[in-house]
Amino acid sequence: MKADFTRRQFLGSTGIGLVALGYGAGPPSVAAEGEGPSPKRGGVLTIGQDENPIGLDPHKTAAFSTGNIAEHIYTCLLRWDETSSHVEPDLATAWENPDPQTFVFHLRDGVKFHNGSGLTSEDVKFTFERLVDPATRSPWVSIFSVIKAIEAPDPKTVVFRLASPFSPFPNYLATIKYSAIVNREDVRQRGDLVKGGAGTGPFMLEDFRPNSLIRLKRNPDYYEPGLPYLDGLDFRIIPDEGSRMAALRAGSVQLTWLGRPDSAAQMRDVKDIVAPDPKSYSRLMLLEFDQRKPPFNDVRVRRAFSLALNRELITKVVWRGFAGLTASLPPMQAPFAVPSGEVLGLPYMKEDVAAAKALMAEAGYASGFETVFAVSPANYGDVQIAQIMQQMVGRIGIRIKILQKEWSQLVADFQSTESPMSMAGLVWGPDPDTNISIRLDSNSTVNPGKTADPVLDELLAKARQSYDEAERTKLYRAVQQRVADMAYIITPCAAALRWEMWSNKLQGYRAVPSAQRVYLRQSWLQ
Amino acid sequence: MLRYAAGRIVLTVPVLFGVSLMSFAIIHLIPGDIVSVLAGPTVALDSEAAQNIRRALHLDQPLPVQYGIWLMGALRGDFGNSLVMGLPVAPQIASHLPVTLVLTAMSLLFAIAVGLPAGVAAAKTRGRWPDLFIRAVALLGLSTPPFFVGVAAVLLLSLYWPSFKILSAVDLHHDPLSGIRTLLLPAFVLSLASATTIMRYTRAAMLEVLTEPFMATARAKGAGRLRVLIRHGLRNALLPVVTAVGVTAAHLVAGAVVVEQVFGLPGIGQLMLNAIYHRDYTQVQATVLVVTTLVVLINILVDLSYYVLDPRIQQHG
Repeated sequence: MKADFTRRQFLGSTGIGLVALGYGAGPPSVAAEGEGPSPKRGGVLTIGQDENPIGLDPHKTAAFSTGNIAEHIYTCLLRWDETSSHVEPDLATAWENPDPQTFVFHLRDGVKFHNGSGLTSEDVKFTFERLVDPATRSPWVSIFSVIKAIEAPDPKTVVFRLASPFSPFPNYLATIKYSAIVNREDVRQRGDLVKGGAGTGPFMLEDFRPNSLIRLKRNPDYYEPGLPYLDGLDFRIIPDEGSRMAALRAGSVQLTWLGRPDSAAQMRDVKDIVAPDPKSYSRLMLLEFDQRKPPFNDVRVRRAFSLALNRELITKVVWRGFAGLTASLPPMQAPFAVPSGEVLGLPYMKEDVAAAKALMAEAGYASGFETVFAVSPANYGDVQIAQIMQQMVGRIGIRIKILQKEWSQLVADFQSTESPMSMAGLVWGPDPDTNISIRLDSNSTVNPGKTADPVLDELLAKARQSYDEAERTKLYRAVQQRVADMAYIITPCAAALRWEMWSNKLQGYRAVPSAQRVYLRQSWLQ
Repeated sequence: MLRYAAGRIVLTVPVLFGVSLMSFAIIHLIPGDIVSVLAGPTVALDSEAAQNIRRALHLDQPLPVQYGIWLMGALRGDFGNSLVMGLPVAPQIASHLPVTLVLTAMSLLFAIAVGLPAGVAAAKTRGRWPDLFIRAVALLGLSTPPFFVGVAAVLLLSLYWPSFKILSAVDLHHDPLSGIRTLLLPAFVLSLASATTIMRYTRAAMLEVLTEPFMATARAKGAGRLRVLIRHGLRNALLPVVTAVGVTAAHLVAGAVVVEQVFGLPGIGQLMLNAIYHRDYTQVQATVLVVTTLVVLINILVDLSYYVLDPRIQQHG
């Protein structure tokens, strides 16, 4: 039980108390056994959403604004369990992995799409063919191109044949943003799903009024008996953070999320509002060096940079303590990530200005140098962290000029390695492989620092191909050790992605660090 | 009159063309890539996936060709598809325009209804306490930007009057009455600066008119005080005021962008802001063109109203 407890601390819900009572965990029967109020059918939940969705097609974009809505309309073959650390059956009730390159899924009986047609293996096959079709413009083409062939031997069985062993596969199949199952006939009729489509999820689209309201209604044919409890979800688009706070106070919305710790702090003690502090941090702050050119092609300079930082101070000052120390995997990615408490034990992670100065002198930069650091003010924290770092590394003679860029500009800079240093926050990915391989594998097309380390490549490849969790954990720990030792990237901290808060009328809900709100299917209004 | 109006309208064509060219140039000059918006930060901007997206959107063509494609379409009334959503742009604008129009019109009404009488009253009581009071309030109104008043109003009302549903969704099409009710507060917030401007122009113009000899004549021939003030005074003071209303209306359209953001209103300002943020070039182009047309139209109306208000222009124009 002790292990379970610590895992919960890292991964578990932020809805304190609710978990302890058993709410929001597992099927409704579990919830009903709890001691608190019992679930109640009916009522429409109004949600204050921060951004207008850029269409509702779950295959066309990585945007949160779309995922926030699509995750209630669609479901996947698998889904995440209550700890967000393991996958469990959803549209597929069972699966086998007869050899490392084959996955066989058995589909649930009696599942209906919102247009009335039944789920068959052909729909699943079609979904993945659509995902890798260049015309779909899916951002996940490279992930799913690992699929060599999909077979549908009978209406209830799907067989995936992979080009190579790929252990992250089930995790992607459990994440709606990556692999929402769509209906073949529905897509054929509509052309695309930008204005909505037929899913298998607990809610179905009723009305889509851009920049105003997205209305979902209860799916009476949803396959988990009795769920969802709510009659509908109204997503009210309110871009201004202050207005969303006000709307929650006034009761115009009953659930919303904020992006700034200071806004969140204001809501902490408001009557009738549940505003749990995030317990786990999924937004990994990641600084890249241009390793092709001096000065950052010299590992001594990068190590000196790392040594000059006081990471604990950054989490305290910028995030009011609501951030954690992190290695190159965010702490919520347990058990693979080095826990926050052990981060300072990794090489060059603990502040040591004298050693940093010595390394600088050894590298021939005793009098320091000037450099440019690109960040974006689009999200809270990035610029603030850059400013603190500027002071810290100033002590060893690295004079940073901070270059503020608009978000889409920064992403371009980040990916084409324009500036000698750039930093962005990475959001949760379904698998430890998602972010780390893309960033650090020399074969990756997105490798902003141009890291090229055969040792690292081999570790990443092994971890990607191993189906044994203990072995993978060992490999990813070795990866993090190697990255820290070579200081390829700097991860000053991991912070909360969103501060979710809701009215105490909303019961059975809990926030998860990945900011997926799938638990609304088993929430109700008091 | 017709010739005057026709001349004004013909002049708008080069204006609109210039604006479309400039907005095209500016949005393409801002660095940033729509691919990063569509695909997210985990897809390389030079990868196959990114190239697919660019090809599909004609973004691999040279800029003048892109502008040419857009212009040919626009001339035929086809503004193209949103690059981000893939849906036609025109219906998007059509669904967002009413909110902005109603919001702006309501604000203008508020501004005139408050600014005009206040200006007249201030001029009439010049130097005495009503004048000082009105001018003090006006100064406050002018120097508090709508985003501050808006956020403050939203916060205070949510704290002390939660039953006043400030942030409900507006649907002018299906439920115009409750839509207008929801727009009351945003319109009021938006109108503050304009009301002030109109008040100040009215006051200045009235002060000038009040000292004219014909005012004394009107009083001498025994006209009532109110009749002197309105019919002889205000009527003659209106010309600069109408100019101010025209300028103000253009500012209202711009201010609507801010107010829509604060109140979460589905107007053209939101549409434009999102389009710029997402680098949705076609959507930006069309929206800017529509907003410009709106402002140009308001100015034409102002010009034409001179014609109605001032007989001297009728003779020369």
